[in-house]
Amino acid sequence: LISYALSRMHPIFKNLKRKSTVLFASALSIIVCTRCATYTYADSIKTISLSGDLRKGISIGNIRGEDCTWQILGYKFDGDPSIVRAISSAVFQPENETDGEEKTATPVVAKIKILRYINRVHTQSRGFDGAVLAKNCIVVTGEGYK
Amino acid sequence: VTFARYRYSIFVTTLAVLLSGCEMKQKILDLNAVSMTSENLKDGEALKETGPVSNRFCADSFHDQGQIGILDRLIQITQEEESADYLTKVSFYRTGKTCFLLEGIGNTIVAAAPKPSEVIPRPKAKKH
Repeated sequence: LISYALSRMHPIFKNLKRKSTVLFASALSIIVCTRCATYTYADSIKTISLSGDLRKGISIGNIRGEDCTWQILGYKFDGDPSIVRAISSAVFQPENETDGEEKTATPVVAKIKILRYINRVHTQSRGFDGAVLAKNCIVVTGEGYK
Repeated sequence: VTFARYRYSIFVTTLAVLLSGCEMKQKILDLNAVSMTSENLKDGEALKETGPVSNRFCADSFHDQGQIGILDRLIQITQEEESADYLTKVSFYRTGKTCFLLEGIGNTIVAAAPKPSEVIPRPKAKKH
């Protein structure tokens, strides 16, 4: 597409061989794409407070929350994944599982009530996008305090 | 005659154009407090409200580089512009395809007022 656009834009690209134009267009695409940014909701927010009580608390370790939604043939069930639901479903994550593995993370919905604030908040998009079925997830991690 | 014939079509088209011009504002998150500069309040510190704050950030993949946290950026620019240490009662909205909006209240850290129990009572003046 870029090579076609270039050939329409300037006569110099018309004179070039098709292969050369495609190569030039590919190089241009790579240069343009290396400038592209990737976006996430939170990269490293220092503090988010759920209760509004910001006095220094006691660390309860790394926490991890996730919210996923499914998409079948382009139809989204439950809309997009939500950060609110991801934080609400936050679970404690043992120290050795900070890389996102889900081995023994225990859901502690009841204990989440004691969570006052979270430091170093990071969100990640996960999932897969198939032709028929797609899964979109948002994962929230950070250090919880009570 | 032509106008009368197509008046319904013109009305519907005009309405559609006007409605498509409206900005969609979808709430994505409510938080009691956020900060990009402070982890928590130390003993003897308290927050003082400075007033309502609002800011917008639009993703621009041609000018932005690397990994960007949208909420990080919004909080950071708002704190810098308002000289705020914390933002409280914060709501984040998605407006349009690539833009995000923050609304909340700016707060600065001040020395906390002493608790009533910590106030040393003044000796009562003796009546003569």
